[in-house]
Amino acid sequence: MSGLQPKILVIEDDPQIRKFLTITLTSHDYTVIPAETGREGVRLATSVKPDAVLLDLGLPDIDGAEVISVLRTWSKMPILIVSARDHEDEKIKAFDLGANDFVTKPFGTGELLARLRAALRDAIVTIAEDTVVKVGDLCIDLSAHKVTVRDNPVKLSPKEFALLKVLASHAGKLLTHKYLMQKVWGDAHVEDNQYLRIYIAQLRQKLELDPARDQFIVNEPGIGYRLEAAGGSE
Amino acid sequence: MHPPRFDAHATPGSRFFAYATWWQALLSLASVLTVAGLSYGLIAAGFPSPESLGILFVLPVLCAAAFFELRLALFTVVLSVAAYNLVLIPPLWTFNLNNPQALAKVVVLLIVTLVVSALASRLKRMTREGQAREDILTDLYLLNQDLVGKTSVKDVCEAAEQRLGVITRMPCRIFLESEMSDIRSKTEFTPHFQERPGQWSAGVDPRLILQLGEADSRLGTLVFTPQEGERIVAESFPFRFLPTLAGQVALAISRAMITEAHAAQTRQADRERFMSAMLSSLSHDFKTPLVGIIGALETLQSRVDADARDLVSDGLTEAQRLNRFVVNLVEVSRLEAGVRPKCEPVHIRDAVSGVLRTLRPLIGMQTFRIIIEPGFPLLNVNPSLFDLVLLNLIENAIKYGPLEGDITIEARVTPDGVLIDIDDDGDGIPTPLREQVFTKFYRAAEGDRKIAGTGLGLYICREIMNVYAGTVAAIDPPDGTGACMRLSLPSDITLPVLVPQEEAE
Repeated sequence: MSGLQPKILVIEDDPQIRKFLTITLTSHDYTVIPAETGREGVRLATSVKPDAVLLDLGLPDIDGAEVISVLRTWSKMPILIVSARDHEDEKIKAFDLGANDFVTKPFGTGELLARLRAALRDAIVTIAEDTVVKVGDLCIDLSAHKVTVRDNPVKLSPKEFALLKVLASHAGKLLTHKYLMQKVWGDAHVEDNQYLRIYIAQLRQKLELDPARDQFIVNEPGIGYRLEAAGGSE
Repeated sequence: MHPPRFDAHATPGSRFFAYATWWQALLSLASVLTVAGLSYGLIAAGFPSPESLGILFVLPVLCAAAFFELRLALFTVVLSVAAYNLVLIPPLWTFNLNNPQALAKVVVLLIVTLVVSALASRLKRMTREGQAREDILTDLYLLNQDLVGKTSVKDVCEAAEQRLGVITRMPCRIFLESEMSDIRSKTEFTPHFQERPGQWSAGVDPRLILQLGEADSRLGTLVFTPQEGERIVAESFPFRFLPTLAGQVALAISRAMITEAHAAQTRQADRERFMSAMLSSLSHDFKTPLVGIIGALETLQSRVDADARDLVSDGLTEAQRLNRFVVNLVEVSRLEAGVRPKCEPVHIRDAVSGVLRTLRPLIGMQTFRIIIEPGFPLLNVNPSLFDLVLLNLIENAIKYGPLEGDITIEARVTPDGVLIDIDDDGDGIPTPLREQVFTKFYRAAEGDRKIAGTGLGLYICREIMNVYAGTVAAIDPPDGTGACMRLSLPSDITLPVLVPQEEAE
C-alpha cells in the first residue's frame, strides 16, 4: 500500500453521495480522490494509482463496464461496484469484466466499509494455513478442522468444511459461484452450481442456529456467496 | 404471388344478348333493303350499267361484319345474295338460278361477300383486342398508381375498391380474412358464400367472387356485385383481366400488411424501451436520495449522543422502509408492464436467510423457526422477486405479531408442488378480509395498533406468484392463533435435488 492512508478513487456522479462517501471514508482514515465522470476516473486512476476504486455503474458519460475493462488492462486494484438492486445483468457483466465486489444502493456505511476492508485485505494478505478465522460468533480453526458457533462445536463433512474454508479464507469478500465450485469440486464441476446451493444450505443448517441472528453466509443472487457476520460490520 | 383462381363462366344466350342480336339483325335487314331499293330505283330510272350495281350488295355485309358479330355478317350475306338475285337477275322479283349466267353471278357474289365478311370481322376483332389491351394497361397503370404509396391495409383496400369499381362499373368490396371474424361482414357474406371461393355460380348468386392471395395464405376475398338486371360475363372485358388486377391488389395488401406488422413491432419495442427507461429513472430518482439519506444517517449515528442516536435510528428505520416501498413500487410497475426477469435455481434456505438479514433492524425478540422438509427442491424463479415475496410476508409477520412471538417458516413438498407457510402469533386476519388484503392499496383498518403499511406488499406477492403459476393466500392458522400465509408453487417450477455423494468421513 502506498503511503499511510489507503487511497480510494470514488467515481460517482451524484454530488450528495460523493460528499457522504468522502466524509465517511475520510473519517475512517482513507484518502478520497473523487471523480465525477468515468473519463475523469480513468485519468485519475492512471495518475494517482489508488489502492481501490469505488465505481458507480450508472455514469453519465461512459458505461461503468467500460471503466472496468479499461482499468483491468493495466491494473489488478480492487474495484467495488455501486449498483441498484434491480440491475442484476449489469452486475454479472461487471463481475465477468473483473470487478471484485459490490454494494447495492442504498447501502449502509457499515456494509461499505466492511466490503472495502475485505477487498483491500484480500489484495495484499494471504491467510496462512494455521490461522483461526473469526466471523462474529463463528470461529473456524483452519488447521485443526474445528468449527464452533458461540463455543458450541459444529460437526461438518469434509466437503462442507472445504467450502467453509474457502469462504473463510476470503472472509467479507464476495466469491462467485464459479470460483467456489472450482476451489471445492475442481474444474470439472464449474457449471454445476446446484451442488453448491445444497452444500451452502447444509452449512447454514449447521452454523446458523438462530437464523434471525447468525447469518454468516450471505447470498448474492446470481453471483455468489460471502462469509460475513450479521449486520455487515465487524 | 400467383393471380387468383378465376374460372367463372358466362351464361350463354342471356336475355341481354338476344335483345342486341335482334336489333342488329333488323339493322342488317334494313341496310340490305335499302341497297335493294336503291338498285331497283336506279334501274327503273334507266341506269346505264345495271350489272355494276352488284357491287353495292357487298356493302351491308361489310357493315355487318365491321360492327356486328360474325354470325350476323353471315346472316347478312344470305340476305344480300337473296336480294341481289331478286332485284338484279331477271326476271325481277323471282329467284332465278336456272341459267348458268345467273348461278355464276350469285356464286361470285357469295364468295366475295363471305371473304369480305371474314376479313372485316377479323379486322374488327384485332382492333377490339388492341383496344382492350390498351384499356387493361391503362387500368393496371391507374390501379398501381392508386395503390403505390399506401402504407395501411385499410387505405390499400379503399383505393382498390374504388378503382376496381370504376373499371368494372359496379360496386366492389374487399373482405379481408382478418375481418372475417367480424360478425357484420360474416352475415353479409355467408348466405351466398360458395363452397369453392372464386367460383361464380350462375343463377344462384349474381356476384363475382375472387380470391386474394394464395390458397394456403389467403388474404381476403374480392366481391363484385352487378346492378339489378345486369350479368357478369367472365370472359368479357374487363372481367377477363380481373385476375391480373386482383393479383396487384393482393400484392399491395400483403405489402401493406408487412409494413403494418413492422410498424406495430417498432411501436411495441418503443413502448418497452420507454417503460424500461421510465422505470430505471424512477428507481434511480428515488434511490439516489435514499443512498444519501441512509449513508448520512449511518455516519451520524456513531457521532451523536444517546438521545440523538435514538432519533437518528428512527430516521434510518423509516428511510429503510421507504426503500422497501420503492422496491415494491418499481417491481409492481415492472410486472404490470409485462417484464419477466430471468430465473435461476433458488434454495429456500438462501432466500429466507437473505430476507432475515435485510429485515434485521426490524427484528426484536421474536423467535424464528425454519423448518424445511428434507428433499425440498430448488425453485426455478427469479431470486429478487421470490425474495420480495418472502420479505413482504415476513415483514408483515414481524409487524403484526407480538414483540416476543414465534414466527414459523415451514417449507413442505406436496404431490403437486411445494408449500411454504409463514405463521405468526399476532391477531390474525379475520376470515372475511382474507381475500381483500391482497387488493392493491388495501390497508388494514386502523384499530388499536397503528401500523404503517403501503397496501402494496400483499398485492405484489400475489402478482409475483401469478408469474410462476403459484398462489398466495391467508389460510386458517394450523396452530389456531395469528395469521398464516401460504405460498404454493406448482411442481414444474421445481428442480429436483440430487444429493451429491460424498466420501465417508
